[in-house]
Amino acid sequence: MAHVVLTDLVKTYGNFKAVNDVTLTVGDGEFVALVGPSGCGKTTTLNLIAGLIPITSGEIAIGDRVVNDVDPKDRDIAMVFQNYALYPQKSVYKNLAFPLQMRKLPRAEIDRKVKDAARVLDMTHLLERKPRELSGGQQQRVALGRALVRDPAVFLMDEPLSNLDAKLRVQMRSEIKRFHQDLKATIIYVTHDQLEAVTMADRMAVMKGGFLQQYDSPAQVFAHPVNMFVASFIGSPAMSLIPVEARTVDGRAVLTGAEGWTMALSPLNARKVRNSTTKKVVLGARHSTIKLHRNAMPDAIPAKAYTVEPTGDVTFVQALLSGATVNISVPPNVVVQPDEPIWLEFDQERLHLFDGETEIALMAD
Amino acid sequence: MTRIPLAGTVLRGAVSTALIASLMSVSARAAPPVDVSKWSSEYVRSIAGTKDFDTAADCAKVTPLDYKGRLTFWYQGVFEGDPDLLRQYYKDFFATFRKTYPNIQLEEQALTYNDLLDKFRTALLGNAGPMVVRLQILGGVEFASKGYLQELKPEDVGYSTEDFWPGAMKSDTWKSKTYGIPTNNETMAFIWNADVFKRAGLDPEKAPATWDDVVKYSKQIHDKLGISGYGLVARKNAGNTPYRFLPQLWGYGGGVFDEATQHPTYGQIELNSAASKQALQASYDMYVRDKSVPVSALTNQQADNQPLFLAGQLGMMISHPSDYDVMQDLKKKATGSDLLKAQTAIDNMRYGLIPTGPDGKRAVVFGGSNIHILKPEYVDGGKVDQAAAKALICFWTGPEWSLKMAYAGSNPGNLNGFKTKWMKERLETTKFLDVSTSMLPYGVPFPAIPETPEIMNIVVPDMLQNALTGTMTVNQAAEDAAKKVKSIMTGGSL
Amino acid sequence: MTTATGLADARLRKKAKREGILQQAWTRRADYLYVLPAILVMLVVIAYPIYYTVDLSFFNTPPGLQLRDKVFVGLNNYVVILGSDVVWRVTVNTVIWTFFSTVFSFALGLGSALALHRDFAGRGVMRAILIIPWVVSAVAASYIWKWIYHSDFGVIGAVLVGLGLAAHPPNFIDSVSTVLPSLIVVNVWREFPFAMIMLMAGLQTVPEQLLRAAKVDGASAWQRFWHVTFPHLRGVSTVTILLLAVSNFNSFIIPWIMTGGGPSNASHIWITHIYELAFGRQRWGIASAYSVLLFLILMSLGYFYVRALSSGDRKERGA
Repeated sequence: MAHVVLTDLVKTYGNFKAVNDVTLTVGDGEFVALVGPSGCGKTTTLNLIAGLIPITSGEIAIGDRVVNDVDPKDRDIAMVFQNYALYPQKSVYKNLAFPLQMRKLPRAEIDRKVKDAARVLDMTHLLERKPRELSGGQQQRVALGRALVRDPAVFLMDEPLSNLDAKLRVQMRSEIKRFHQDLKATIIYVTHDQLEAVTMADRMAVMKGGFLQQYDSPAQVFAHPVNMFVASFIGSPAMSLIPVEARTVDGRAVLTGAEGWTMALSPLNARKVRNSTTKKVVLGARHSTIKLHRNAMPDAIPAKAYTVEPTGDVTFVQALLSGATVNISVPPNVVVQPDEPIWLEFDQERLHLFDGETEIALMAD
Repeated sequence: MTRIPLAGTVLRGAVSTALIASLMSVSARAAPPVDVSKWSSEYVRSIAGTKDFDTAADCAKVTPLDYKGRLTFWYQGVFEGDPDLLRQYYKDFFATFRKTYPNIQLEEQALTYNDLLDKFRTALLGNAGPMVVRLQILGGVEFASKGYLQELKPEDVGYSTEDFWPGAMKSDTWKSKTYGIPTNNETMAFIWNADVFKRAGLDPEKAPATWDDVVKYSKQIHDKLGISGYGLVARKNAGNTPYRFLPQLWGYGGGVFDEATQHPTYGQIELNSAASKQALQASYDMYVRDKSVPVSALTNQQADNQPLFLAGQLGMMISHPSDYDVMQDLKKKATGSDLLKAQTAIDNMRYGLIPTGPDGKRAVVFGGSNIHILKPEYVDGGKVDQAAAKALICFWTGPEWSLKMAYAGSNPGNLNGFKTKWMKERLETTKFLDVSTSMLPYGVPFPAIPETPEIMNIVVPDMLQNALTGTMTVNQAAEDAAKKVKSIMTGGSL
Repeated sequence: MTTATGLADARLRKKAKREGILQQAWTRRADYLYVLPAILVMLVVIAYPIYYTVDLSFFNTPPGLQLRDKVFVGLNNYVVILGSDVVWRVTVNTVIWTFFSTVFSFALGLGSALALHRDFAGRGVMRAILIIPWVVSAVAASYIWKWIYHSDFGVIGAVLVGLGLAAHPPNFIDSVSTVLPSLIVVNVWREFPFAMIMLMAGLQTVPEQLLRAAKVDGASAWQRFWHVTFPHLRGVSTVTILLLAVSNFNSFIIPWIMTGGGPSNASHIWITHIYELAFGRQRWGIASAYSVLLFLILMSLGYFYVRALSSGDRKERGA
C-alpha cells in the first residue's frame, strides 16, 4: 500500500477547466472519498490519478514516485468501475486472471492469486460462471476481485455501487468497508452519494466545479462545513439554510427574519456574525438540532407546518421560513398537522452562520 | 480499286468439283438459276445486273398488296461488329415493306444473337412466341425437331427450292421435311495485313496456302516482329469459336461427324480421328509451342481481334468481308498516332481463300440465316396470320432484299440475287466481296441436328481450352470431346 | 409427492400449455394479417418456382423434345450430378471461392473499420472512397477488371513490363491455376466495404469502460482489440460472415462476365455451372436438380444466420 499525493492538479479541455488546482494527500491505508455533484471533477480527478487521461499541469505521486508520465499499467493501481467492466466472454476465473496474464506471471502463481482473491471475497463457488450468470452484487465483487489480485498500491473506485439497487447498495457498502479494514488498503473512492462517502471514508474531499471545497473527516465536515455548499451537500435531509439579517437591538446581537421575528445570538455567535462582510447572513441548522414547540416560547420562532413526513423511525416536519424550507425531526409519536402553528427553537451551540455574500462559514476570531 | 489477288489463280485450278457436286446433292431436278459449277469471280460478275426483279409485283402474287392483317416478327438485328451501312438497309427494308403493304400491322423486334435464342426459347415455353422468326442457320433445327415450326418451303412464297443453295436448304430440313427458307448465306475468308507480312519477310500478297503454313507464318511474325501472328479464338459459349475452328478441322480431313461429306448421316463421331487430332495439334502448336497467338485467345471473340488488327498488333485472322467496313468504322474513333496505325492497317488489309489442309482440302462454315413460321398454338394470341407472314417472307427472301439485307457482310440466300443490278453495284463498291463470294462453294453447314448448338458452343471450345491450357494433352482433349459428343447424342449426362 | 390434487394440477398446467400456443396464435392474429401480403408475394414469386424446380429435377429434357414432353428419370439426375467429376471440380472451386472471398473480405473490412474508427483529417473522404467498389455496377467493374487483367494488353501487364519487372505480361485469367485467385481478388475488392460498414457500426458499441479497464489491467492496443473489441464484435461478425458466405455462393456476375467459367472450367462455381447447363446447354432437368442441391446447402447456412440473429432473443428468454 502506498500514499498518494496530488499537488496543484489541473486538467483543462480547451477553455473548460475540469480540475482546478486540486491538492490533497491520501495517507497509506486511508479510505478517501471524492464526493460532489455531477460535473464537479471527481471522476476526472480519478482518471488523472489512474493515468487514463493526461494531466494539464501539476503532479501526481504514488508512493514516493511521481507518476505523471507513467502508463496506467505501471502505476501499480487497480480500478473498479461503475459498470463493473467485466470481460463478458471470460469466466470469473479468467476475469480475475486477466491482469496477471497481462503481467506475464507464471500460471501457478496466477492460479494461487486468483484463488486467494476468490476466497477473500467469498466467490470460490462462482469461478467458472460467466458474468451474465451473476447478480449485480456478485459482479461487483468480481470487479473488486480483479482489482484485488493485482495487489496494487492504491485502489481507485469509480462509483462502483451506483448501479445497484438500494438494499444491495447498503450491503455492499459494508462489504467494501470490511474489505478496506481487512486489507488496510489505500482506497480513493468517487461517489455522488454523500451518504456513501460519509459512512465509508476516513476523509472526504468535497468537490464542486472542479475545485476542492473541503477535505476532512466526515465528522468534521458534517459538524464544521466550510461553506454553504458543503453544508447543504452533506447530511440528509439537507441542512436548513434560512436567509436572515444580523442586527443590534438593545445592544444585543440578534438575527431578524423576513416575517419580523427576532432571535437572540449567543456571545460566540455574536462574535462570528461581526466578521460577516454584510448584514445579510444565512442561518444553518440541521433537523436534529431544532426543537419543535406547540406553544410560544422565548427565543422560539413562530412558523407554520407545511408538510409532515412520517418515516416510522422519526417524523420530518417542514416549515417555510423566510422563503426557505426548514426541516425539523420529531419523535414518531408527536403528531403535527399541516398548517398548524409551531414554534422553532434553535440550538445556539449547534447552529451555523454563513456570510450572505461569500457563503463562507463565519468564524469567531 | 478492287483487287483480286488470288481468285483467278486459286479458283481456276483448285476448285474441287466434288465439293461443288456435294452442294448440289439434295435435288437435281430443275436447273438452278445460276450455274454453280462455273462459280468464279468472273462468272459472278458476268451474271450481275442481267435481270430485273419487281419485289412488290412478285409478292403481290402471294399476298395481295391491300391485304389487311397483323404480323409479329423477331429477328437478329444489327449489333456490335456490324457496319453502319447495314443498319441503313435494315431501316429501308421495314420502311419499304410498310409502304408496299400499308394495311399489314407489322410488329418487329430486333435482338442480339444470344438474347434472341434465350427470349425465343422462353417465349415458346409459354406459348407466347412471334408468328415469324429469323434465326441464325445454326439455330433453326432445334425448334424444327421440337415441333414448333410449320412446314415452309420456297414454293410457298412463290420461289423454288432450286433458287437457294442446296447446303442452305439442308439446314432447313428435318426428317426430310422443309421448315424454313434461307434469307442470306455467307462464308468467311482469310484476312491478313500485307504490311506485317512484308516486315516479317513473307510475300505480302500471298495468303498462306495451307494450315501448316498458317502455323509457320504465325511463328515467323511473332519471332520477327514480337506481335501476334494468327487471331485464334477459343472462347466458350460464343458462336465465333466454332466458325473459326471448324474450317481448320475440316481442312485437315477431320470433323465432328461426317458433315463435310457429300451425304452426311451424322452417325459416326469423327472428333477423335487422327485427322481431327492433327487439326487440334495445329492450334496447340500455335498457342503453346510457338506462343505466336494472343494469350487472351481463351477469352477472345472476333470483336476482340478487330481492334488488335487495326492497331497492327495482329497479322492474320478469319472473318467476314464486312470486317473491312468495321475497320473503317473503328478507325473513325481513333486519334493521333493511333489514326496513322489504323490507316496503315486498313490500306494493307487483304482477303484470300481459307487455307487448305495438307491434302488440299478447303472448307469453310456455311453461315447465314433462315426465316421460319411458327405453329399457331405456340404463338402469342394463338393465331398466325399466314398471308401476312408469307408477304414478309416473300419480301425478305426475294432477290432484291435478300441481297440488300446481306449487302455488306453476307450474300443473298436467293441465287437470283446475284443477277440483280444491285449485285453489280455491290461488286463495284464493296472491297473483297468477290473473295468471300468465291468461298461459297466450299461452304459446309453445321450438322443439322438439334444437338449441334451444344456441341459447337460448348464441347468444341472446351476441347480447345483443355488442350491449350495443358489441362489435357491434345490426344486426351480430342478423346474427351468425342466422348462428350457421344453422351450428348445418346441423351446422356453431364 | 403425487397427490390427487398434484395430478390435477399437472394436467391443468399441460392443458394450459397446449392452449397456450393456439391461444397465442389467436391473440396474435393481427400480426399474421400484417405479414400476409408479403407471404402471398413470396408464395407466388419464390415458393411456386421452387416447387416447379424440384419437380423439374426429376425429368430429363432432350434437345429434340418440347419441354412439356420431358422424360421422367426419378433420382437419376441427382445420381449423375453427385457422381460427376466436373461437378466435383466445380465444388472444389466453389469452396475455395467462397472461403477465401469471405475470409479476405471480412479481414479487409475489419482492418478498414478499425482504421476509420479513430478520427483523423480526411476521414470522411476516405470513407467515401472505400465504399466505391461496393456501389459501382458489378457488370461495369467486371469488364474493367477484365481489361486490367488482360493477358496481352492489360494495365497491370503494361506497367510491369514497362518498369522492367517482367518479361511479358503476367497471365491472370487465361491460366487454369491463376484464374480463380484473380477473380477472388476482384470479388474481395468489391465486397469488403460491406463488411467494413457492418463492423464500423459494431465498433461504435464497444463499451468504453471495458477498454479502460483493460488498459488499466495492462493490455496493449493489440491485446485490447483481441480481448475486448473483437469478442464484443462477435454478434456482428457472425452475421456479416454468414451474409458474405451466402452472397459469395451466389456470386454470379464476376465469374460469368470475366471468364464465363473458363478456361477449362477452372473458374466455374456452382451458380455459373448451373446457368451454363440451363441456358447454354438446355439441360433443364439436370440444372434443376443441381439447383435443388445448392438450395439445400444455402438453406442450412440460412438456418445458422437466423439462429445468430435471434440468439439475443433466446438469451433474454433465458434459453
